Amino acid sequence: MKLWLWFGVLVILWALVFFLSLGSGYTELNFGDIWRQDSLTQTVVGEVRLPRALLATLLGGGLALAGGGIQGVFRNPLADPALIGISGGAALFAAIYIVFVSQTGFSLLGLSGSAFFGGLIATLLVLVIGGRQPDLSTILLAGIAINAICIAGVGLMSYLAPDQTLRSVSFWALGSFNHVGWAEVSVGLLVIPAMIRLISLSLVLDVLLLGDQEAAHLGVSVIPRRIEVILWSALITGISVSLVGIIAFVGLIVPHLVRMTFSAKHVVVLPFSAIIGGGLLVAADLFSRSLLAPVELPVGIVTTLLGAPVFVILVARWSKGLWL
Amino acid sequence: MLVLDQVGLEIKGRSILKDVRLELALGQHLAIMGPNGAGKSTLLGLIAGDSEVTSGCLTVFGKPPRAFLPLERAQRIAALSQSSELRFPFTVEEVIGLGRFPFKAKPVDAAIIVREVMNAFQLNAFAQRSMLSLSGGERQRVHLARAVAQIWSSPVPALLLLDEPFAALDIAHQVVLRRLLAEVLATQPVSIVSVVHDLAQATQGYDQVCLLTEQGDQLAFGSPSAVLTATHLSELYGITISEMRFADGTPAGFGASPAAP
Repeated sequence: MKLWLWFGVLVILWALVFFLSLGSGYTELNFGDIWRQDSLTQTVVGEVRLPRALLATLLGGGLALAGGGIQGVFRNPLADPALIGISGGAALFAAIYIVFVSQTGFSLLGLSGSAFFGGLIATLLVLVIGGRQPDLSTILLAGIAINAICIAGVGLMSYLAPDQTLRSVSFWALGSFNHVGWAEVSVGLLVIPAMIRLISLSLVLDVLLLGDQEAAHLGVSVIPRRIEVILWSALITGISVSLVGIIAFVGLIVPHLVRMTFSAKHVVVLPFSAIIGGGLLVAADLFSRSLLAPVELPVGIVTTLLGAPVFVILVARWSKGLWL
Repeated sequence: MLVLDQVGLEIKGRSILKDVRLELALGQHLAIMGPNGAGKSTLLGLIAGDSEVTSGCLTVFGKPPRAFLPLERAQRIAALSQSSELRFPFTVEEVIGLGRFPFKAKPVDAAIIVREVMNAFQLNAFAQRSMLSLSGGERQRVHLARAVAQIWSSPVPALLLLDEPFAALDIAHQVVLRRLLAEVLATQPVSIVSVVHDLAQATQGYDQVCLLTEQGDQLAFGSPSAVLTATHLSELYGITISEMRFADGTPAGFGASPAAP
């Protein structure tokens, strides 16, 4: 079957999950009901569920695509924005912003910018520790160290935080769509240009996989392109963390699935990861608010519970010499 | 097309290459030989434009390689490093296709060239195989095919740089590859520069040889029959090396006798 047909199937699957998510919850609505114009439906669907499902699509798609990009640029199929410390750095800087800056004037964009900056610093540290030819273990070890420091920092921030901000700080470690409205969606739209630029770099990412020297011999300006991919991925991760906290494993698992099922070429991996990641995060959010309804689980817990076992399987296969 | 005049390279005050002079015409195959650590791969890298020479003059197609824009250079100089590692499940066809990256051609045109190269390398049966399922020698062959795809049917003269292309190949595949490189030279407007390690095969298929000493000095440059002599090689490696001959008397490369001091 042609790849674009598969892509169509995945878009339909995403749409199914999306509309299921609009209808499900404390107020159950079927497919016909969600279009009604009464005030209850407009509030429940228009003000609560629609922005939530849209943001989950944008961020799930963005995170999965950024994961694919990061794996390509590190030449490492087990890299993930959360595992190698980008998300931790973003969460720490978001928490610092909340505690120290938000009393004088809070803006979502400022928060996102701060998180982006934190993610970038964490990535640069990983690059410095990992060296120029980062192999699997140095990246993961550097990521573990940086994550530990960042999570400790988030803990420190929540200790320093005045009571009313305490909850908003602690949620960064868990990840949640609970508070999402249209303001968050409008900031979340910023991931789209980053995603488009990363997809346009697909061929360059393919060539980078061959090695720095090989890529240079094929005419790629290796260092500027690598920095560019890291910047766009850190932007996506930073926006995502600032809006909904750390959501781990989406960026790790989804590109893997695409490579195993369809193709390893980035021109396939990146867009397919985006649509699957978008659908997956909408589903994970739906699951997190239906499982113990009316209590909501943080969605980051759901993705971690789903993703960690898959990660264990991948590591086990890797230790047997199978990369995928 | 390739001229090196008194080329030298110093890195952090340490001399890596000294006074290398050679000249290569279109359609010729140059072998760079010498002991471990002689700077053979470094010399190949200088020609590929990886770094700047610190003395002398190196020109490819009339220009220093680093004076080309990266994409321009990649359209005329293809280089294969010693090890290319790829941990992602690309197919053989996709990897060879990456060789066409510098050209930004329509996918159909690139596909034709990829197909021709796969034919030449007898990789058709492998086209859809994942790189991860291949043996080391097979992978080497695919990466070589990728480098050849980069200069295949070039409208202008091109240069193919190979770092130990025979390293991971068994003797049968070495013979096949030798024939293939000869065919590339005969049918395409290219020259080839190879770093070669194996003295047993040193006399086969090269038009020019450049011998480097352990200090990166050029010991000799010229035709294989002039450069590759038992005297030169014994001096170079510091052991007694003799020329071997097949039963019919044709040269069979060089070897060290077991009793060599």
